Amino acid sequence: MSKARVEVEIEDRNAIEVIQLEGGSLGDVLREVRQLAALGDELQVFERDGEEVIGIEIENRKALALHAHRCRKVRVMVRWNADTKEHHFSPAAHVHRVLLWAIGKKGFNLDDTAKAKANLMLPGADLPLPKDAVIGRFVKYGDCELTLDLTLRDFTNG
Amino acid sequence: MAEIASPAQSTLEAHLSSVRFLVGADSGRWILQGLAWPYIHVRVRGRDPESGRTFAHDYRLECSGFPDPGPFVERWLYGDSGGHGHKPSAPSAGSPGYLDAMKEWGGGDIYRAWSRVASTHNNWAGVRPDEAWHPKRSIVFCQRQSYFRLIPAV
Repeated sequence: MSKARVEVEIEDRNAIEVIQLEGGSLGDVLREVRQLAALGDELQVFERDGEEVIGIEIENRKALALHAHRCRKVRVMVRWNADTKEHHFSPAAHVHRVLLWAIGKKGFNLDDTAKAKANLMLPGADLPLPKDAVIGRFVKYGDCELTLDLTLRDFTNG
Repeated sequence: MAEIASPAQSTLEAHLSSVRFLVGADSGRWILQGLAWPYIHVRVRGRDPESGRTFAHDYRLECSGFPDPGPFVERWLYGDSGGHGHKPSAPSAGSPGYLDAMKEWGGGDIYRAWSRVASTHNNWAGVRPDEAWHPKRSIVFCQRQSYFRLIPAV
């Protein structure tokens, strides 16, 4: 029987746990993640930075990085220059994916110089969000929404 | 007699066999081109979601003492025809962020907060802890940051 190593981050717990599975079927993975999360049957399981919930494509992989959240989609609102744009992402989307949308043609359509400086921050925060964080880490189940500020504050290094 | 790997090498090899490194390799975001201690060679690939264009860049990471200090990361051109390649000239075309990361500067490494010497320049690691190396990070942090820098690359 195949073995799978699975890293999973659950909702806003801000911790990554590693589990080892004897079997690599979709059912095995869902069962173990749901048991670990103990959040009931509403829990949705995504590949990290994936848009859709996992399916049979994950079967028999040796390594998986997952995010589990009860929100199926997150309504993300990005504010910049007194304007707000919104889009729905999976909670497993990396901050980087949201940033690419926000600076791109469907977002605020920044020029290349501005793109190089762009970061996303939580309202009132001092530092940009890590680009490799899943947005579900900042989302509470219940509202399934996230407001972010786009900043061009110069965090480059002189 | 077989050589015994140093603690630094053993730690690095454990990171290279971690779930997060293997998942990135499986998804095509990066590939380990070679490990010749204390160096590893990695090719990072990115895809611009708007244009669909793909990009790739090679890096050499010198990992003596890993994980403290962190890797000394250089832009690189891996030798597909044998050998481990060489450091290419700094690119002259690309987005401002990409050119800034890959420029020639006094430290010799790429100009990003996750590389060993650059992190000390103007207290960069203190200013950008979210992009700075620290010993509790995985080597995958470097590959992910490289991937993020690559898109949009040009």
